Amino acid sequence: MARFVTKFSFFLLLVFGSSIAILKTTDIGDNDGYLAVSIDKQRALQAARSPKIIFIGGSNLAFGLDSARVEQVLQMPVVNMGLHGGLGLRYMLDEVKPFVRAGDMIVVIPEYQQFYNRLMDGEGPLIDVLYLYPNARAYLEPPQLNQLLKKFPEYVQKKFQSFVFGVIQRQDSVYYRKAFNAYGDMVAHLSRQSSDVSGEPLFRAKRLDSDADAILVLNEFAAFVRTREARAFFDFPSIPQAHFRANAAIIQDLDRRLTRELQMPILSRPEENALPLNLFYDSVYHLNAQGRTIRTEKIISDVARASIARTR
Amino acid sequence: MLFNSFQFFVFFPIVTLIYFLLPHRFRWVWLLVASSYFYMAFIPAYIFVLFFLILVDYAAGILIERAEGSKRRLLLAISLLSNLSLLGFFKYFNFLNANLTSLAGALGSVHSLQPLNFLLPIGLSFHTFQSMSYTIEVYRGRQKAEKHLGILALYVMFYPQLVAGPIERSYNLIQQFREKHAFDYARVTDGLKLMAWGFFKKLVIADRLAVMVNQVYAHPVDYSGPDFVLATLAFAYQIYCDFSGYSDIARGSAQVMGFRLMLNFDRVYHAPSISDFWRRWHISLSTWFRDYLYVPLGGNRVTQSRQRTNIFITFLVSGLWHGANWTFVVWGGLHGAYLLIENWLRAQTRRQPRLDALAKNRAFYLLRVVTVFALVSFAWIFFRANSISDALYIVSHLLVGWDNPAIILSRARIESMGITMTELSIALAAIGALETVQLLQNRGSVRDSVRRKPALIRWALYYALAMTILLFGVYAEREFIYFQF
Repeated sequence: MARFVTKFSFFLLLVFGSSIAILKTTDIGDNDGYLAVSIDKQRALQAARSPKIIFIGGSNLAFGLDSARVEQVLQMPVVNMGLHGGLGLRYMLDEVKPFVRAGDMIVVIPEYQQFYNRLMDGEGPLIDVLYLYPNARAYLEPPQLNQLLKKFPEYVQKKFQSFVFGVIQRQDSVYYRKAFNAYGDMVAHLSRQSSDVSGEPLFRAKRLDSDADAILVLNEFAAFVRTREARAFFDFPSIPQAHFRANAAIIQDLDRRLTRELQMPILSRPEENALPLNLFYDSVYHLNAQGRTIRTEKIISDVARASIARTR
Repeated sequence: MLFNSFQFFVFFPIVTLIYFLLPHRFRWVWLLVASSYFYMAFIPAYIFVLFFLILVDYAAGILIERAEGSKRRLLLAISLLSNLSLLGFFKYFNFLNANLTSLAGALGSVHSLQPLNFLLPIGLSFHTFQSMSYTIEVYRGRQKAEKHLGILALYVMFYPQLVAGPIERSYNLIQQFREKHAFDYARVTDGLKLMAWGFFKKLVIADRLAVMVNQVYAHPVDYSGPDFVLATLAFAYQIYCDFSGYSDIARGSAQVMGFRLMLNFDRVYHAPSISDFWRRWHISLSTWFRDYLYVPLGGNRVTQSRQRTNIFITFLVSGLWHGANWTFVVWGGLHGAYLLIENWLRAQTRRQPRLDALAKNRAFYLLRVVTVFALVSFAWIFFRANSISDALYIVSHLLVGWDNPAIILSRARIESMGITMTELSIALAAIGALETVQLLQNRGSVRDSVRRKPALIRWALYYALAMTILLFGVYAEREFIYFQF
């Protein structure tokens, strides 16, 4: 058996080593890539003085928020931590915790997928961020490690196939580090033409397994924020109206669960955040310049109202 | 638990390692616990259905052995009826109910039983058939009644073949649980190689083709002849690689622990005749039907017309075994008809010496292989279609849309089937590799021939296989098709 264990371990090491080599030769270490902006966002978060507003979410926030405008109206420094849904809700919340101070307002706007199929524990992009920003490893919890192990083969494969078959981002892509401003908002797309996103499904997965843990993690975060004498709010992301209608049953069910179980104020109802299709840039979560302006004004009014009154 | 899940990648090494570390007398307990856990990963409560079956057949086995005369037959009937009732209730109740409702409606009366709303216990058709084969063999005197309830339970529940076979015979498997299996390097590595080959078939080929097949068969009205041909050929390889891949993983994982499960698939699309196809496809099921249905019906010891009826009945029942839908019955019926026509043609050929000589010609042999593949693929349309009307729509439109050859294999057309050109190219390359290996198998075991190669070449091959699975596998944890049966 010892002979087998030795040889088999060597074989596994060879395969694992090759996977790492593949990752190294692709864009995992790309300091100019989209996910590398995570480093800048962390720095912005560290530097921001309190009381401040922190936005937490995925790319819906990266593309759909004008933080400068929020700062100007609400007179508080703003940091937009929104980057990529694949980082998972758990990581998004954990990376912010060390920087929550008294008087801060935290607005959590995750994509709908965060409540299903364990996306909350992260996927491939989290591996990228852990590589680019080693400090982030301190936030990792066992469910995330389990999820990342599961996703590792798929992740290696995605990187390899992008490299071999040239699915690497096109030259005119906005998916790079410098496409963001100092607040953490994506701005490179604002002058670009939008594409038709009507054919893109809201949920790619054929089966949606609800995660009760997602609400649990949000409630733990809300409790933590209260101990820091700060306030946390929840809101729904903007999606096209047609996609809202097509997925109304799922979204309304989630809304009911959140209304019943979530221990932080909810700023608005899902349907209020459904917008016309022409306001989206290249995905059902990514707003274009016009959409971003409308969304920002709505967030400002919702946050302003919530900061002085009890929400629904 | 799915073989292609992360759970299994943790489960398998732990179960195997502990199996080898335990003294022989405790191993059956460990395997039974592990198999129960494996089964309960689906719907835990259904384990009681399985326990009920085991208890019934355990008691039946012992009582049949002790009884004499007509009492033996009565006990066998009770055991078979219990198994079949359970299968009928879970699998065929809604089908029967829906058909009775339609029939009553057509006759102007009302039949209004509510359909039952629950999921079929996973692998029920497999383990009921395996369990029934035990009591039948005890009745026939080929198998001693198993006095050890744990061993009998393990025979029905042994995790590698619990949910999708191979449907083992008691006289092959039960005694293996009493054998001492020491760790054997060659056997363990051989088992792992078989598992890796199974994963290649499932993850690289079957699950990749599934996307395209599902898309076309879910919306047949959106497609035309060339799409149906392509999707049906894709399904022919999808189902073969899905099911034979499962069987390879099952046989490989059993082999690692020292168990020998029967061969279930043998290069099925190389068959030069329909009868040969059925000697290669789902061998454990086709031999089950041969031994426990066709032969008891009289087999070929009866008049020719009765034999033809027996063949046809066997194939209809085999179709129904696959699922409670008329599509499966038609699929079985088609194969029955193919076989009857083939038998007639064979009888004609024997009378014509020139035709008999032609049958031995290599080019003619190849033509026969291609014809059998085409006939089998045609029958797959009924197997895969969601309803008889969908199947008939596809069949009636097979020849529509061939007028512009330039766009038949165009990128836009392929992508409209939900698959990219790159993905299709990967699938075709993998099928090419599969067929190459299967052709090499004509010269003997590929694993044996690899074993004789220098270490560097051996390792390069293993490495290439592992990296192909890693880099080109589809990790959607898609269920195996035969799980639903």
